Amino acid sequence: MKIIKKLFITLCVGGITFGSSCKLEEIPVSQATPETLFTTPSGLRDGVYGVYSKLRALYGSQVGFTLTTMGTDIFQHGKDGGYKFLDAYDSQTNSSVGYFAQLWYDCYQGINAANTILAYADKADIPDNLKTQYKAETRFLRAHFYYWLTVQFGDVVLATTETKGVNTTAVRTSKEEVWKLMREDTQFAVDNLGWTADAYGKVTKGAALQQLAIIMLMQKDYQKAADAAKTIIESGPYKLLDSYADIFRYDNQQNAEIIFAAQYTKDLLQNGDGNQGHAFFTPAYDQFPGLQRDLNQGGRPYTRFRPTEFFRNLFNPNDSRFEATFRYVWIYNNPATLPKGKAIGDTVEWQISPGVTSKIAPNTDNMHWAIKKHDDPTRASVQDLAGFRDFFIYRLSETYLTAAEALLLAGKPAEGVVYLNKVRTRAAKPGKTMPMLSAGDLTIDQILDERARELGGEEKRWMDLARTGKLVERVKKYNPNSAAIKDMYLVRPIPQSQIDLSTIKFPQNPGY
Amino acid sequence: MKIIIQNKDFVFVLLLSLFLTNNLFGQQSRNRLAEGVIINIQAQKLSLAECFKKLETATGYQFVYSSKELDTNQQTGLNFVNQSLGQVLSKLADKHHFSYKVIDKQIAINKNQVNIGTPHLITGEVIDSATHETIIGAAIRLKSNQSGIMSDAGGRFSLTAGYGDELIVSYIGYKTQSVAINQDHLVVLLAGRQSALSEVVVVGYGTQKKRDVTGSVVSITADDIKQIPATNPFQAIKGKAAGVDVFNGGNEPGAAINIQIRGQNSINANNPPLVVLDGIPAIDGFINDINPSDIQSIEVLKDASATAIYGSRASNGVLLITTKRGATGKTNINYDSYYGVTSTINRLDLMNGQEFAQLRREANRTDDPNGAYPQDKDIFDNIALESIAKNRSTDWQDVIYGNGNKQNHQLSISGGGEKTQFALSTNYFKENGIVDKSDYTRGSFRINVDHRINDKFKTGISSFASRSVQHVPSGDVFDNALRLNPLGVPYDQQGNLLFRPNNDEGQRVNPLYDITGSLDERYRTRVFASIYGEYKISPALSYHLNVGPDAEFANGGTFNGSLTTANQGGSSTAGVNETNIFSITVENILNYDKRFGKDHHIMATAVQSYQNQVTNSSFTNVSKLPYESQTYHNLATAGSVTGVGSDYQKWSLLSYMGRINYQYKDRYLLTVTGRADGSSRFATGHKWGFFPSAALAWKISDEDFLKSSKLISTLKLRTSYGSTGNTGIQPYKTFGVLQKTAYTFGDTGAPGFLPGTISNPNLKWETTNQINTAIDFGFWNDRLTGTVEYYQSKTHDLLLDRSIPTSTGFVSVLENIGSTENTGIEVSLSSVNISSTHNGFRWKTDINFARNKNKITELLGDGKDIVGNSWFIGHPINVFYDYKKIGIWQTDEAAVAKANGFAVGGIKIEDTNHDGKYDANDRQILGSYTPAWIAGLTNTFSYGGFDLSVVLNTRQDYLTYSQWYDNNNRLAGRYNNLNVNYWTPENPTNDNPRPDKNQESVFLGSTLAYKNVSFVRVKNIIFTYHFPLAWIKKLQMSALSLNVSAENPFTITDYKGYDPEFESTGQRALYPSTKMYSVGLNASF
Repeated sequence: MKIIKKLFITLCVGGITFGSSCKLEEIPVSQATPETLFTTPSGLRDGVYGVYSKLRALYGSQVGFTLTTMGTDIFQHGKDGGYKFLDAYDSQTNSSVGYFAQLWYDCYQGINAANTILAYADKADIPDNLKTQYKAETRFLRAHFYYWLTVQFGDVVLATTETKGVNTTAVRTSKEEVWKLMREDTQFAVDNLGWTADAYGKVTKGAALQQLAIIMLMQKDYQKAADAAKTIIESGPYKLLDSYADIFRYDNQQNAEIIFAAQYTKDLLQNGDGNQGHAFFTPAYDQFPGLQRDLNQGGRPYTRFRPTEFFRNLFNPNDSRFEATFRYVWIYNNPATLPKGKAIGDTVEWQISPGVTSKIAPNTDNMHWAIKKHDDPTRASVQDLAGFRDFFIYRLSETYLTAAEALLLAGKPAEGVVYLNKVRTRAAKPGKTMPMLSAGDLTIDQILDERARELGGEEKRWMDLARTGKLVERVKKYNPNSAAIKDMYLVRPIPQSQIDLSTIKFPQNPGY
Repeated sequence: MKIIIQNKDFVFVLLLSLFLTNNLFGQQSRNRLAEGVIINIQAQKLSLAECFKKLETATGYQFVYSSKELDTNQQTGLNFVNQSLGQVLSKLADKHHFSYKVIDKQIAINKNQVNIGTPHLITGEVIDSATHETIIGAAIRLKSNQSGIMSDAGGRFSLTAGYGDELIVSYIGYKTQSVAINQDHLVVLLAGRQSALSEVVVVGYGTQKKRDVTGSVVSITADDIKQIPATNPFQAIKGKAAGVDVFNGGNEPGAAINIQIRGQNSINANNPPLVVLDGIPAIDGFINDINPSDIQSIEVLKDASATAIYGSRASNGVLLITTKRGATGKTNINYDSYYGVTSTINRLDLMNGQEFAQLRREANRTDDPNGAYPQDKDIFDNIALESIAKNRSTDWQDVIYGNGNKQNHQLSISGGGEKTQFALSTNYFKENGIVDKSDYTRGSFRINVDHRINDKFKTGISSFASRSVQHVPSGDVFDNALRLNPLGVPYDQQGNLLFRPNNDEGQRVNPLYDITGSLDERYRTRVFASIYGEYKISPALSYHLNVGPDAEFANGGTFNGSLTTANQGGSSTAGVNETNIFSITVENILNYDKRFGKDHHIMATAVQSYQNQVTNSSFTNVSKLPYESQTYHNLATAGSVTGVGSDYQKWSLLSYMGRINYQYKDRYLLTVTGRADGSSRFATGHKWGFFPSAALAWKISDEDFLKSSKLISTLKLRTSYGSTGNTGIQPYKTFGVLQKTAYTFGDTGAPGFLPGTISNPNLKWETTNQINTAIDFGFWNDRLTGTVEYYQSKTHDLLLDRSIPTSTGFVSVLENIGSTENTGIEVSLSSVNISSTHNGFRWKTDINFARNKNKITELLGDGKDIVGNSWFIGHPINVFYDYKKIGIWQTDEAAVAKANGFAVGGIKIEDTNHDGKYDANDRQILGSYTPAWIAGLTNTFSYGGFDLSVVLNTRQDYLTYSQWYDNNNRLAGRYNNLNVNYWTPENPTNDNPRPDKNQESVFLGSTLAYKNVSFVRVKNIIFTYHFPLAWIKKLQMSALSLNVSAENPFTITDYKGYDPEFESTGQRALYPSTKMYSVGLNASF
């Protein structure tokens, strides 16, 4: 008994030293969960902002640029980069290519975020109008991600509810079905959003109408597409700037022509990876005598994309867009390697062939022309990749071309050509005129040519070609690297990981 | 009849004789003998032994003596005429310094105790009679005056004594031995109480005699550790324990090291064993702070019976690290140090300038419409053209790699009185890397104290504090060294460092700029204590309280100047970061130990334990520093803040466990263990897990039928079955958490959130059930000992980061799914090949071998593989699943190649399914990165004052995906390339494809990067010389030895990378592996 008593005392002492209670409850102090955050007014708002943030994965990123620029009729690969093979359209363009998987994931991450917000929207204690606004913005963005998915991949997984638990049995839904949802979502945004928003950069009725017009074009609902575009032109607060070059002036990013833009900022904490567009078109000019990297001459040369001859020759001499688009002269800026007889500030003279020099840069793999639209000379150093420039997703001039396209396809070329000519008129150099197109000239190829001149290098091209079914024909014709393109390349391969990780058969696109 | 008894048993026989004869002693009996018998011996030509023999014949008495104790070969030099036996014995005893006792008809001769010869220096060594290893710290007392010393690190001792005196030699776990001093050098063989198996080993929450252990435990002692100049305790285990796979996680000074016991159970990469330091589970994985020289032993617990006491944390094995403690007796002071020079083991075979120039020409020719070579002036810049003209070439590896060095200094003091014992040590370690500005410095001190308050209370502490700083070179240094154009030059003609070694390369930077311009500084401070109190409630029952605070403060700063690869001439960047971890463990332990009757012995342990760990971390990153000299020390001056963050994590674990050991007749052993763990990391309803185990052992060699066997000295059969768990996940993993996003509207920041993880409230323990069967054996008095073990472990409910289709919006989800199986056999052998007591030459060999087969047995329950995760049922967890290169498309195959979208000169892959197409369905399992078997071999030799030890280890039959191979074999002619044989129209090889300037990397290039990395490595050779005691005695020292050692001196492998061992995990070759030649000194006072 004495031992038991001692044992008891000992355990009591032990218990005291044991001190505070040993709770096993887990409180994720440092972590936010949907249940705790999205049910509050500010949390729900932040969730909507989270959906917006995925726009940056598409616009201003190398993935977004590569999958819309490389292997088109207007751009071929440049000197460097791991995705040069994409314009060869051969066996290297296969389901294992990382950028396809990246794009697929980025879009679905955005879609799932949107679905989650839509599921929580009614649980937060906020005014109904705000609730509706959040839903409208979110649904617009969801449709936007689906736009990328259906144009790039064709039939894709249609997800309309928040992912809960593990789902490995997703199936492909026909793109026509997906377009229906996109149209409903976008229509909801059109119906519930105003022409202006409470902050610059948010989705507006104008953005929604432009997206709706594109969706309707894909659905071959041409008249309604034309109507949507015309509503923007006629009722929206936008107007074409007088000068094409002004649209891309660095200090003029918020201008009357912009309908919707992915937002970037000089606040580095909110800028993410930044808009990197300034780097990708820039050739390796710094490897030539007398030159070094220069914020005002293209910055850091990623030398990913080179304009094709077709693109360079697409411009009328009176077209101001040529000068606003291309950088084809450089200025000596490096005293250390300056060639004999040249001075800093002189225009660079390039050796084109033995004995022949030119002040216009060659357009080869090693040294090619650049695109000026994404210049970002305010970065602190030439090496900084994260740029600050907003990325224009929808501009009013595109709406004019959308209207022209819709009207052409609706059998109203006479009405359509007016819209196209508006764009051409504005493009003329000061004091010059551009030849106008007649209704009889208006073809889908003419529209694509005009879109190239107006929107070249703005992450539109590959999807425009795919959307209009002209990819194979035009790329084969105009891109010297793409002679091997076949019909199968009209859609990208489904990422192999999606196929491998599905527990049911997930069909690949034909040919891959 | 004469009985000559070895001195070992002399005392025993003597006592027995005395017992039988009712204590008849000394002079009385001598007088009684004197009567009756008359003796006449001409003895001056006889030896003492012969003299005794004659006396035996003459008198019928029998002489009993130890030939060792008494030098019976000496001449007597006496004659006896008509003398009594008593007179004869008396004269002989006087002359030859012995006493004698008459017991019945026997005369026992004993060397005279009183009459000690002239004191002089006596040296000797203490050796384990079974293993023939030296015994360190054995207590040696002189019988005459009770003065004492201890054997030194070489098992040696020296003292001043005279012939005829006696040494009493004792050591814990051994039978005390008395040895007569009859020569100047004595070899004292100490016998374990039973055998080698009587060593005490540390098991969870207590110690056990090795012979009584029922589970699978490997013990690595201070002796093993001191033979390796290790930075990190794990390095000392390499090649020493069967089934324990130790491999580098990096080579830079202070880099971590990986350890895996019995293969990979969990599919999650997180498979390190639990490390328990002086009874306290240490903060996950960080053992770099522990000074190897402080370690007394490392016990590796492998099977479920041994590990089950650690329940939920034990499924990957447990390492128990016990540090050195003080002992009562003389204060020992020991100084130990080494200094070594390091250099790269190997350099990569890269192209030289001419080879590279040709590669670039070929790469351009491929894209020429006419297949023509370009002109050099069109594809090389002025510097390269000059290099070509001058036949000049830069090996950038030579530019950055030099010799490094390592040094270690350890001062230890230990000792104590009856009540208090202590061990103190302080240590300084410094390694300068083989690349400038890479180093690791660690200072630490340890205080271990034990104090007995009274018969019932005991208390003590094990504690250490350490501080280290590590400078990690930028990975760009190594990348640039491998990829820079060899036609470039590091310096211009004026000797100025060039930022760009070539004018036509805009990304690669002279690595010397990365070395000087970048800083990655990491400070770590660790304070650890294990404090205990023990109270003896009754003789059989005691209570033990363990409290273990463990704190780790890590902070660091990074800086990249403008002229570095990271910033390429742009603005400088810097950052600071800090992580503080605090863990506390409180354990209440009851121990019960009682015998019932003669045959029953019960030992029981009950434990209640609580541990929690809190981690706080934060960081700030900035850019545009106005002046670079500040590195990261004045971030407020920066132009922009580019990132800030902080985090908090807490977990706790509450456990109850019990263990009962029952022994019947000391040879039938049963151990039953159970542990219940509750973890905060799982959701309510899944927090608790129970992990039972049972083990049986039979000591066959203690059975009567084997007891007297001369051949078999040890034979034990044991088997165990039990389950252990794995928490394996970070806190908050059951929640679906949001990830932060950045956005803006106009200039107004709009930070937001996106769903980051899928919640899984059903997460529970990953459980491993393991069966283990083993036989321990010893032959010829344990001269050859060994263990053969077979085990099979089945892990189910794997905590798995399962990749899922990204159409869910997520990449992966943490789930309990699937099962794996590990089956293995482990063999350890230890043999004393030669042990000559004649000249002291000893040769001992230890071999261990482990073969582990790992396979996935189930995944989702539907019998299907998950290809996207490269998980295949029936195959190991880590397999490489890819295309298989079978050659290069040759010119005569152009049509087939083209039809399938391939070009001539490109890699040709196997059409595995023979469908005529080359697509994703042709991927196949190429192999696994888990070795089929691993083994270690240690040979130690000693002779006189010399010791030699050679440690080999090997990992065999496994693949790696070599990232550096993939990265440095781009064959585009922009970056330097491995010197490979590539395809050209004139050289239709099947080795490597045709260079092409348009490729960033080789299409299907991964197929070139799977390499077999089997190797055999001489891990360590150490040669030690112990100075003769006679010399060092004059220096007031008790031991002094010098050693030279070689670390990683030789490797046998087919692999052509830097190091097959390092690249086993497929990492890119950043800091290359090193070898070291060092000299060391050990001095004891």
